[in-house]
Amino acid sequence: MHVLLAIGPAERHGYAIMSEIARMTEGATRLGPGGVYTTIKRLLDDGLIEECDERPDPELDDQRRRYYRLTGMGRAVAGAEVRRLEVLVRAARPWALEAVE
Amino acid sequence: MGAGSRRVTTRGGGHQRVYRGLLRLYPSEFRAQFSNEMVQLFGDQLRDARTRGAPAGPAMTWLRALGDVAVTAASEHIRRNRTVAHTLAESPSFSSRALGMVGIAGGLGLLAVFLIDLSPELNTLRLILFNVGAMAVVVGVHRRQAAVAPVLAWAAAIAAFLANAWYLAMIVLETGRIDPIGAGNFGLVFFAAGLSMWLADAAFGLVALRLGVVTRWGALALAVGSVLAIMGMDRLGLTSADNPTIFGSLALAGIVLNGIGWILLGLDVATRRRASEPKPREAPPRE
Repeated sequence: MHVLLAIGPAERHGYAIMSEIARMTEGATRLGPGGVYTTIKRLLDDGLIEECDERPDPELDDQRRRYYRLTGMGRAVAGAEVRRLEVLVRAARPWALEAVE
Repeated sequence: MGAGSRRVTTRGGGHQRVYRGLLRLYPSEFRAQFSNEMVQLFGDQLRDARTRGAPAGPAMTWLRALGDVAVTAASEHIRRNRTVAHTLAESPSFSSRALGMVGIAGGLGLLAVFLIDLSPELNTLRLILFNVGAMAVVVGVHRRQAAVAPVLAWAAAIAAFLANAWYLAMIVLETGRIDPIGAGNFGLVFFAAGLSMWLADAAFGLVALRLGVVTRWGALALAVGSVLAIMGMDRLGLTSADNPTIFGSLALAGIVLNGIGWILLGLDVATRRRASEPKPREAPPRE
């Protein structure tokens, strides 16, 4: 799920995905190369992401890297998961944050 | 060229070379697909650690990398084994059954040459059957192995197929008494064909043993048997069943093992589904 959300609407390579996960989670989750690429492999096998044939903006491009993007199914799965988490957070927010603080 | 087959070339220092060595812990097909990018990503992490200026930065990066490799390599092996086991649980295709059955017949044919005393004419037919069977099993085993380690699988299969085809051609030519080089019974050419066949069979068995997607006992029997068979080679690349020397006995045992290896591999190909067939998947809709 972290990798799906980190890719989001963009086309990202492994390093960008790893950095985005660290940023999204405020450093709480840091994947290494093994974590990133075993997850990428599973998402590719499940048809949730795909490798981009076209290169992104040439100025930002690094020819040595492979870029990945969500498929339609990947976007649908990410959206459904976000909606599910949103409902859970909304239900828990009135009391759960107070318990932490 | 498809994006999936694009190779990323990375150059790096000693840290990245050591890290690349660690990646041997992953399954070979995973490594073939992602190792270059993983090495590059590890290099990026090291660069970031140095940029931040923390004295223990690279050491911490290495510690995290070791933990990351240990956990994810193990999980990738487990996942791969589950996938292969699941795929193999299904029935083999018709072509796999046919290849396996021909291979079993070929292995039995080889055993019959040395264990049952029949006329030389029948021995020739059984040797032809043996080579055809070996080539069928090579194809059947290769169809599974190609999905796991394409380069290694192709190299081993091509060598074994061609070497057996060469020996088959020599047997057929010998039967017809055609002698294009004028060296009675082909002399050295026949010997070279036999030696190539045993060496290529041994290499094919070792590759099958290493990749582990077919029966290990069959692969082991093939590899050991082929090496032993070399020890008693006569000018036809085989050994005589009545050779009284220790080399003759070892070679005979090797040929029997080789035949058993082809039979076991043929049984495997005929009775278990190949793992290389990709799971059918509908193309996901693009928005």
